[in-house]
Amino acid sequence: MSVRAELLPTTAAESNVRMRGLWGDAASHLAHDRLTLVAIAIIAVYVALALLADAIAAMLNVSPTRVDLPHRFEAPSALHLLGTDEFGRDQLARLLQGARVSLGVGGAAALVNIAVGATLGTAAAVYAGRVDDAFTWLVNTMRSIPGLFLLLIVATIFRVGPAGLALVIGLTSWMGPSRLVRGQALEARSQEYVAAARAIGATDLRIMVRHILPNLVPIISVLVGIDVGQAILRESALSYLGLGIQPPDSSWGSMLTNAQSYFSRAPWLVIAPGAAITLVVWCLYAIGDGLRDALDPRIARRG
Amino acid sequence: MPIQYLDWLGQVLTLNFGTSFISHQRVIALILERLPATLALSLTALVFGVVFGVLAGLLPALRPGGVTDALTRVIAVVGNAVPAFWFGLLFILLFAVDWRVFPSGGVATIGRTGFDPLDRIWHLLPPAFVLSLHTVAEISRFVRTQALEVTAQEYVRTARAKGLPERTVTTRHVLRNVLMPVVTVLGGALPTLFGGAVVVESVFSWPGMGRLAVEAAFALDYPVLMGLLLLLSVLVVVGNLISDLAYGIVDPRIKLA
Repeated sequence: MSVRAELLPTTAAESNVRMRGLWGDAASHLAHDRLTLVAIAIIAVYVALALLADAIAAMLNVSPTRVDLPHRFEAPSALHLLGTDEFGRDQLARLLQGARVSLGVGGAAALVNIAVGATLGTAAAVYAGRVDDAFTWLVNTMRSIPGLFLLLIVATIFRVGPAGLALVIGLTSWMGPSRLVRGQALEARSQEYVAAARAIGATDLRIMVRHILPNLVPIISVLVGIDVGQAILRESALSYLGLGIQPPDSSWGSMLTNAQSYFSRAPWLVIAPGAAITLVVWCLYAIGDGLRDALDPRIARRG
Repeated sequence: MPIQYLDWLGQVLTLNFGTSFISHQRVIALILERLPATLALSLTALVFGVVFGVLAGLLPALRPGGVTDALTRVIAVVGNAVPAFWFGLLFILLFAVDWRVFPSGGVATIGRTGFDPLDRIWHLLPPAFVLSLHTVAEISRFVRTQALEVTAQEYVRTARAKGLPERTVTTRHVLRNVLMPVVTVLGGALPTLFGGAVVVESVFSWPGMGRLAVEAAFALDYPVLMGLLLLLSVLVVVGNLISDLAYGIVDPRIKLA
């Protein structure tokens, strides 16, 4: 704290230099963090596979929707790399198609929840007083409702497609991020430069955007990784129950809906989608952790 | 619509949640019938969560950098990343289908008459274990940080300097101070457990409130859903209150305002 006080007369130009310093530090820290690099690479592969799903399926001459009843429950082979499901559809093609839905819904939901969470959290910290009280009340109320229950009920009432599902997941899971953002924003607000800005007559909006928001960028970028992971988990749980993604669309979760009825016939159908979810969520969490370490100047300097 | 809602609120005050659209039974009766199963499952999972979570958090913290340290960190990470329903499916695939040591679901062996406690417990263990996974990961991470902090405290060094055996230091000085704050985490674990119960009960065909919620959701049975949502939220609030009060009791430094 006292160190920052000495830096008080910071001009805009200097503060830009410091920003670049932070991201520069972070980049050099990340370059040595092999675990995070591997996780980033895996996510990149996932995204590429999801984008190229159709092309890959065409190349292997398989289709996620072609029903082939004589060849149901086929074990993995050269023709069907991951076997076929209860309708003879190619499992690999469905997995790729599911990646598109799962990653898309997860990413969009995380964007919604961070946008809502960051806005409300920052507003609560900046306006304080009644606004903050109302915010705290809302967050505490929403948090006492078991998350998946709320999601299940909202998704049921508004029978939604993939885009709607992303919106619903985002709107029922912003409480955690918003509390973190509020804490960070409160800390930033108590800095002398915010008092100085206020003293020379800056508006609330200007203080929020120019002085507080830059301080929130690190925590928000860490949250993105973790939030996308959680959103993917929520979507998969809901779709597994049969209340999320509806046919003809399919996601990794909905591929497991009927898994229990063909356990002994085709265990590979059970293993692949779950492994896909676990790996992608683990990578997202690892990236979040890695970013946190990289963006924390105390740790970066040590490394 | 707002009037309907006020009507509903007024009725709830007298514990009348209305009747189910589907079975025409009273909602409160439907829920109370399922309540014991979910409570048994969630509380057992909570016990698993605390026992395994504390062990997995404490043991490596006493020897940082060792094999157990690496192992429990993997458990913590995987525990957060694995979807509970898939973990449950794998559990059934391995222990019920392949090895046949545990049943694949339900509360009791089909066809067995009368109440057999051992059989019941045998059916309870797999879903409770699967449900506890996230809680284990959460608590172990918390305990690990806490234990590293406590072992660096002056009084632990003093205890060692006095020449107390390592075991006494661990149990009397470290364990006690690590466990106190865990009480506060327990309250926060309840929403996770109840939410997770929705999924785990479906995987293990466990006749609790989670299954009821899924059935009601498919049938668009709003009165049942509303009742469930309200009762579970109340349970969570009560759980939080208990854990806050309990913290005041175990840690005399905390005074309730």
